[in-house]
Amino acid sequence: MTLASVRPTSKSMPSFSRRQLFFTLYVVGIASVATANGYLGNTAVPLLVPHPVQVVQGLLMVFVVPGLSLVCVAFPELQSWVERLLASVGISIAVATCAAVLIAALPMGFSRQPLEESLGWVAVTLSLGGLCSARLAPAVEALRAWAVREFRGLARKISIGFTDGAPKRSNPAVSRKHKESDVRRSHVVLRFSFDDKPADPRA
Amino acid sequence: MTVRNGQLASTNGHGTATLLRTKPIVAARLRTSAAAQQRSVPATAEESQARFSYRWLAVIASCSAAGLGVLALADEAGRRQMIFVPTYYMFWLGVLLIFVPVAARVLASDVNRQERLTLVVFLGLAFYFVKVVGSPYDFTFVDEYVHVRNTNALISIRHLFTWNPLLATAAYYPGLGALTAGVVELTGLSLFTAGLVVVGVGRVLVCAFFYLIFEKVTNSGRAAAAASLIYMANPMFLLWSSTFTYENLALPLGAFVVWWVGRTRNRGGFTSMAVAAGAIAAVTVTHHIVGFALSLLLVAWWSAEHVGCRATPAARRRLGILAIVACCATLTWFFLIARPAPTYLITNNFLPALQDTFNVILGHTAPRKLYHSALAAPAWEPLAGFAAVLVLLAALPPGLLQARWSCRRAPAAIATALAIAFPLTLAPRLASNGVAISGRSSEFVYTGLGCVIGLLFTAAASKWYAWRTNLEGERADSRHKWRDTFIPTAVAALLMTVVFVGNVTVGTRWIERVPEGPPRHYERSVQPDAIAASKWALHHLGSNRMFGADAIDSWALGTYGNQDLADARWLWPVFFAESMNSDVVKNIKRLKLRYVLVNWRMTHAAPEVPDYYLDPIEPEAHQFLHSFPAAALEKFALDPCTSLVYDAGPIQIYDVSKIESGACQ
Repeated sequence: MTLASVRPTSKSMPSFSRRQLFFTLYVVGIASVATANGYLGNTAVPLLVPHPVQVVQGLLMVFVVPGLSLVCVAFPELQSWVERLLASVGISIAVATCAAVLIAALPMGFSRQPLEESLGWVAVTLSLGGLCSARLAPAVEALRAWAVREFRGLARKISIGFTDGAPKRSNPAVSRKHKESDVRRSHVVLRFSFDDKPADPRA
Repeated sequence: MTVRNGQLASTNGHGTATLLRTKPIVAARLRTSAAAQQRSVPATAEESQARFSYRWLAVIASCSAAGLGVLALADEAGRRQMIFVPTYYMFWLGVLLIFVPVAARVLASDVNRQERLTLVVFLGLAFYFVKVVGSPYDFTFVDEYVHVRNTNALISIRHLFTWNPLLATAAYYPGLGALTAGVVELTGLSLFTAGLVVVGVGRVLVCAFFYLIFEKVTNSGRAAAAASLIYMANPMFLLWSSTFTYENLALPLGAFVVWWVGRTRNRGGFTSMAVAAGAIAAVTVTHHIVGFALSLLLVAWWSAEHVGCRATPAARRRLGILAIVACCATLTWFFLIARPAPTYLITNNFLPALQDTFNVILGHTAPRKLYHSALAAPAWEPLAGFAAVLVLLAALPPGLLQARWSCRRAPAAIATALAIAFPLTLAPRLASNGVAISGRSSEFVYTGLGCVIGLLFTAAASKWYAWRTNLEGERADSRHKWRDTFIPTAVAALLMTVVFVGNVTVGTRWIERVPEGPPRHYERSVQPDAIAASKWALHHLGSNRMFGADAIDSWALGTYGNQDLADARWLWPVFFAESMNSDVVKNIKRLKLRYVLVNWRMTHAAPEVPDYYLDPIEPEAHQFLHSFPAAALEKFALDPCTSLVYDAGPIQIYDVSKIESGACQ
């Protein structure tokens, strides 16, 4: 609720939990596709789903799973679980409505299989993307840190080489400008955040 | 405000000092831009310190459960016609047991943010269950039959835009039908259960998203709670907004778009824009008025930010693109795809309503007498209705004065504009056809009205507290503090209860708040014997036969029987004529009428609710001084050219196809 608690760049949850979540979504998506086909994988044995399971799976596929997959993959800055859940349900309903209308507008017409398959594939694709990004995230982070470290080292070397070992004298006008800028920016911060209230428009 | 050792002493609106741990300036500066992008609503210290009170939640849930129990008993007594049960008073007791505890708690100052949100959603769901316990076995509101037919057509025919004789326009807005059909297909639930789930989820979303939007607009959780209560007190919210109709899915989607755009427009990237565009498309294919309202709101938002220049150019550009997408999608669908929609909405609804309203304002026609009908409401109900309007009108000017400080922010400016529109939407209530404007607009106008009144409430509560503390000094005694914060909360809860009660009397006729029992006269809702006759017709006569029937039984024939329905403008002379004369024969041929469903209950006694039997232009419409003439129905039995094909108590079906084809003169 305060500015101090806003960390837009931090991840919303640990990567292990994210991977677990993506894996769950992936399983639900695959189950949805399998149920839509009526068969499990390439086996010729029909998939008989008990009605309570079908109810739970159907409700999840229409109201939660597509949106949750998208939110977890593309919008990690939604920190609060309430916001995440609400956004998931809103996106899922929009996706399911558009998908159902689109399928009904096609020549094949509206039926269970294409709808369930399309929603299932949305969940599978997004969760696979999320899984990949979650697994690759530490490697990418390490690569980025290495690149930054190398760049800074290189810049330092160039700077030392340019001034021939002597530290470069700073420009007093520039440093004064920076200080003024700091003061001004800190005013902005204090105005609207630290007193925990909206800025007084009369001020 | 003083700073010491990295801590910041701050005061909330009530003067309570608190310490907030701060970050170094440099770190805060780095986060400034991002924080400005997704700055959450600043909480007062009391809100930040307050914990989620499960004890209060349990108390409120118990009160709501008791209220729903009382309502269930009243509904059952109404269905069984137990006249010794005071169902009228039980209804009010039930809804007040639901509303008052939530209002009293959610308006208090020391309530956790999530608790407020939970209570607002809880109240919305409890009101939804008021409708569900009233119709626990099937859809009973007339508008619901339109969408049941749409959904059935989508499940059976599997294609869009099939002919819907109950409301042709509804077939061209298939969003609700498609989503419900999807739930039916994927879960195996019945259409009724799936419809309840869809509308129930929509109810949760609309309450939650509107609360979050109000929080952003007012910058206060307490004001947002007040705004949510005002919104839920609109005349349509309790019963009509719980029905299985397309607006009740489109409105949550529209609220989601507004919340989503406000939440992510500074974020950049294609995905958030794509999500918003997808949700706009879903709104477009679901409901016309919500589509227009959303487009107008996005355009107004963009314009307000263009004038106020509060947003970054990129954010404003994204908002403009979404506004263009919404306008193009809505207009294209409305004028090019949903072909009956312009006639239905503009020619049949808005223009007559506007014309009637202007006639009333200019004095050409007398204004409609409010609460005046053959079945007069209890005397206190008109007073409650006027009191609700007076409270809102009295709160509006100081609320607008308070809101002028917030008008530099675009969302607050739009909310203020909506609130200013509230008095204008009252005028059509005086016109005979004005409900097309006043009824439809209330769900939108009350959002802005709620924000303005919420701002007024928080400002007044803060000033009251400051005045009390200045008067008697800072008090350490928590009992005094409790009293000083309780008084504004109690006053606000009381006023909102007045608004809620008055608007319920405006929104629903008193006799229609409790279900109808087995009728001894012409019914006001579809009866089981009519449903049985309709199902028999579907199985034995086939679907899409041209039927003629009275207004109530037409809903059953169109929904459960999947039949086509004759145009009531030409049908009422067929029913009202006392003999099978040449005019009747001519009208039967014109209508291509093949079957007639006759309901003999029309002839037993004048109905309870003064409406019409077949069409609003028939003799004695909206008066019902006499029962329907029995001779007019006997002509179908006596004529040699007709044949009785179905006879079950008061419901009969006659085959008139020989007259229609000219085989029998």
